[in-house]
Amino acid sequence: MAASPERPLASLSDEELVRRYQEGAGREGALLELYERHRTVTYAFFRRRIGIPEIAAEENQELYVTVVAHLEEFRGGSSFRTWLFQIAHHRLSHLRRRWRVHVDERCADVPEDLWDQLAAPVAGNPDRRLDQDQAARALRRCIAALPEIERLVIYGQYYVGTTLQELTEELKLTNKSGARALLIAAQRRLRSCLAQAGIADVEDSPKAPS
Amino acid sequence: MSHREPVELKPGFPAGCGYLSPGDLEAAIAGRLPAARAQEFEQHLDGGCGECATLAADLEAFAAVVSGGVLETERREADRQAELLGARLRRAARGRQTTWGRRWPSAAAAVLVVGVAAWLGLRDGGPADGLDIVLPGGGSYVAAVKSFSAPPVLRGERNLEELWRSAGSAYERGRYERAQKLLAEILEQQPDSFDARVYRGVCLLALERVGEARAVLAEARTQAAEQELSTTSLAWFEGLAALADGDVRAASAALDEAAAGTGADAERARELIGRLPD
Repeated sequence: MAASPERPLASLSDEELVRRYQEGAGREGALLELYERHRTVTYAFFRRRIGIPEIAAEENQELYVTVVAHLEEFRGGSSFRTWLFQIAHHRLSHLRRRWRVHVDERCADVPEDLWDQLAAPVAGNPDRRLDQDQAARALRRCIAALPEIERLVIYGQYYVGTTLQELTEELKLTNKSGARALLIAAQRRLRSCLAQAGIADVEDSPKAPS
Repeated sequence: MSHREPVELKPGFPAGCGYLSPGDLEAAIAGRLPAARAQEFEQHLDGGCGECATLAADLEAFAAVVSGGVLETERREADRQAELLGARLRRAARGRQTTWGRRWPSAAAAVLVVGVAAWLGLRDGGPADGLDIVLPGGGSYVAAVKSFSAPPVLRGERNLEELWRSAGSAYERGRYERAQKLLAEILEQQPDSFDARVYRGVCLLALERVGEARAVLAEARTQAAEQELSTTSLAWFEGLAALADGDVRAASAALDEAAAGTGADAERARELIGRLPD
C-alpha cells in the first residue's frame, strides 16, 4: 500500500520512504529523509572500520551515491538498513582490494616476525593446549577486525616489507611518530583481540621496529 | 514516469562471503541472530575463511554502532560533511531520470551492431541492422537493431560526469576501445559502479575480447549478488558472451536466467533460446 502523501516524512518507515521514492512522488524529500536517518550511523561505521575521517567521509558519500543509483531496484528482501550495510561492506571490500589488504589474499600464511611477536610463544606453550593452526586462525580474524589503516600498516610492515618511513610518506601522515603510532596501536589491538580469543596474554609492550 | 520491472529477490541470497543470508545479516545487526546459527558461523570462521572474517568484523562494527549509538566526535564529523552530501544527493535525485529499462536496449544494440560491423569488416561500427552470432551446429542469430544510443551521464560529480559523457560519446560512435578505457577510469574512481562494469563488459564483447568481457561480467555478477541488483540484462550479455566463446552450456544457463526475467532483454533471450539447436 502506498504511503499517504499527507503524512509527514518523519512519520514514515524506511520502507514507506523507499516506496515513495520509487513511485516518484516527492522523491527528493524521501531520499533526504532516508539520508538524514542513517548518515551518522553509516559514517560512524566507516570511521571505525577505516580509521581515517577523510576517507570515511568519502566512502560515506559514495555509499549514498550508490543508494541513489540503485534505490529503484530495492525491493525489500531485507530492511533498508541491512541493505545499506551490504553496500557499505561491499565498498569496504573494494577499499581493501585497492589497498591490497584483503584478508583472503593474505590468509595462507602469517608472517614469521608477526607470528613471533604476537602468538608464537603462547601457541607453543603446551599448557595452553593450543596448536599453531588455532592461533594462526585467531590471528587472521584479529587482523580482519583491525581498522583498515592499521591493517594497511601491518601488511606493509610484515607482509610487504615496507619501512615505517615509507608508510608514513605513502599515507601522508603528518603526526610526529607517523606510521609507528599506527603500528603500535595495531599491535595493541591484536594482542587484546588474541587475549579475548584465549590465545595470548594481554601484554602491552609494543615492539615496533624503529 | 517510467518504472523498472519488479526485481525478483532470491530467498537466502548470499551477501559478502556468501555464508550469511540477508535474513541472518538482519538478525545479526539487530542482535538477534539465533545462538545455533551464530555458532555455525563461528565454526565456519574457524575454518579460516578470510572473506567471512572481514564480513564478521564489519558486521560487528555496524551492529555496535546501531546498538551502542554514535560517538559525539563521529556525529560532529558526520555533520560537517552532511550539507555537502545533501546537496549532491538533491542533484542526483533530480538528475536521475534514466532507468535501466531505457538504457539496456542501447547496450544490447551495441553488441548487435558490432556483430554486423565485424561481418562487414568495419571496426568502428556504422549503421547496422543485424547480428552474426554463429550458433552451435550451424546457422546464426539475426536480430534487427532499432536504436543505438550511449549510456547516459549518471553522476553528479564533475570529473565523473565528464568521464561518463566521454565514455558515452565514444560508445555511441562505436569507439569501444576508448569507451572501455574511460569506463575503466570510472571504475577506478567508483569501484561500486555496476553500470560502468556492465557497459565495460559490453564494450569488451564488442571488441571481441570475449575472455575479458566474460571476466568483467563475472565481476558484475558478484556485485549484483552482493547488492541484490536485477540480473536479467546482465544474464543476457553473459549469455551472448558465452555463446561467442563457444561455451554453450554457460550460454544456455545465462539465457535461461535472462528469459525468466521481464523486459526487452528477457524477450531477446527467449527468442535466442528458441533458435539454439537442441
